Amino acid sequence: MKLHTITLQSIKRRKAKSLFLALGIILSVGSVVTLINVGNNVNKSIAEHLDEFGANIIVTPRTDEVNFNYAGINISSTSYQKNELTTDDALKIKKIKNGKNISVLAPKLLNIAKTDKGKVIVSGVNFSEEKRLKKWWKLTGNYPISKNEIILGNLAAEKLNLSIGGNIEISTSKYKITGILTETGSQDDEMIFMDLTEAGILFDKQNKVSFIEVAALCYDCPIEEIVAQTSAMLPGAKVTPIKQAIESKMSAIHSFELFALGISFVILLISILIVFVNVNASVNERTKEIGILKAIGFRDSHILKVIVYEVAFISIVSGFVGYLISMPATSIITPFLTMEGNSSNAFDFIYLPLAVGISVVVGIIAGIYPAIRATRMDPTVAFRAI
Amino acid sequence: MIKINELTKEYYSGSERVLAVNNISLEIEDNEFLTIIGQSGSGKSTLLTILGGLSKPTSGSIIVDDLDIYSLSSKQLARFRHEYIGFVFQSFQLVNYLTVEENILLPLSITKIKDKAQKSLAEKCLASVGLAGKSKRLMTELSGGEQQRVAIARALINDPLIILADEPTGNLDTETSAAIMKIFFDLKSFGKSIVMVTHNKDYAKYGDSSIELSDGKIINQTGYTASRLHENKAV
Repeated sequence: MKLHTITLQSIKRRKAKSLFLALGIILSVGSVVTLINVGNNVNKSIAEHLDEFGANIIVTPRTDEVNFNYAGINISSTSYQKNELTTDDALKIKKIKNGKNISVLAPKLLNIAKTDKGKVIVSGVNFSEEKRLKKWWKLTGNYPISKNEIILGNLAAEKLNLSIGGNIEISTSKYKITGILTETGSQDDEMIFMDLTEAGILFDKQNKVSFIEVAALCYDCPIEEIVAQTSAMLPGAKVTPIKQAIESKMSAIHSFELFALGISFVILLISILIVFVNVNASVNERTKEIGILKAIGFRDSHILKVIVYEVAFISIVSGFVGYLISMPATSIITPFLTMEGNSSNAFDFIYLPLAVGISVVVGIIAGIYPAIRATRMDPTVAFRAI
Repeated sequence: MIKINELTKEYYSGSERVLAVNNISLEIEDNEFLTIIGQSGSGKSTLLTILGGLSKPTSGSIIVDDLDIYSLSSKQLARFRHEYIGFVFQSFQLVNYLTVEENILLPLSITKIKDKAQKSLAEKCLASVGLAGKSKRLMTELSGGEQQRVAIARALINDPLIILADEPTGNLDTETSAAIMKIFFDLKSFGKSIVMVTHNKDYAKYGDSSIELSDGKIINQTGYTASRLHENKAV
């Protein structure tokens, strides 16, 4: 017979009360772990989808002066560029440690071109990457399928008085217009877009690129790491994170985290109150028992242990059960809150220590005061006849 | 030997001052069976709780084997109760969710005695109170007399020198009460000092000596010499 025997027998033979106490903890721990788990899934989903909305890293050659630029990128032929980027540099970015986190890699070659109808900025792009990077583009007509086909921004079309199906002569080459972008509100409206390789040939800058737009966001690693890895991979390039884009993405993610944290806090607070009321009532109910234990020589520390062991044991078991409940609950709820509409059914054991830890903390916080109160009870109550 | 010196216990019921024990002095020899009789509210149980180290007196002292028990820290006092005292209560005060054996072994649950030795002690104690073979029963499966026997066995398990019993037959019928009184009488042969509170004067005959309390004072005593009932101003 040891102190824990009293604990175990009390739990075993006072089933209804133990079950009620456990239920309070199970529901709260299950809810909190589900919320955290769902929150992580939703965050991942948000992060993955936010990646699709534009670049968040710009890779440019190191330059000394800025004369003519697009979105801060120097494209003037008068500026002196110490280093130039190549299409191979773009491929190298895929090879960084976090290469798998890069969803879009869009190299561009910009040049001011003389056309038969005036000067205009021409952007050589990889159309397949560009379409993925700029999901907001709406095109009237079709994307080019051959190298002598181009598309125009709506202002460029207006300025040059061109329409779909028309032709334009750039330098000495002729190009067919297959589509016109609807207004984007950006500098894209004033530009001509053609195939990157063709632009290289046209401007005698084969394999050269003016800058590279990168869309990358890794939910579980900071963007700064990707920037650092890219800088190391391309020492002659300037790698700049677009702070605003990153901050808005992270803000969207953190706002859900804060929401989940707030709800979890409220649930845990309610749980602590439920456990407190339950343990306190149990201590009141056991006043005579505590009096007997004191009369037969139990010290305050022994009384404290009897109560705390009981709460701790129920908390540990409840934490485990809460974890078991939270996993299928996560699988059921996640599809409703994520854009993918599906989720894994696999049990993630990372949440087991979290569930048990939360449960024990709730139990101890709620149970410690009633336990201390039990040690201060008057032992002479044992002498009072029922 | 237990020496009670000018013991007083007062408390307040609202604004009214109550003298539960009023300047009592007496001595209880080793292996003595003392009965305390008196009407309800005469201070019998209060005196017993003070003797058992559960309720600090307002003034006076209790000396057990040259140890002034109320000069001890609360931790030492708990140890004193554990080693010196075995309590038996009127309402048995057993823990309902524990079996007979577990109830008996409660005092040993805070010791380092091995389970096997504990069980052996429990068997001996159960046999001594006539409950052999009922160790796995729950309290709800026992009669009142059997429950009181379990309570006596629990009081004996750690071999205390003093047994303090508060109206142990108060909730029992006459026949069962007589059987319980016989157990107490037999305990003397194990070298225990017994102090038993009762309001039944017939049971006082089981003791070597007896005192009668009224309003916290000793108003009558039998089996006491003048030297043992030393200077008691209240008498």
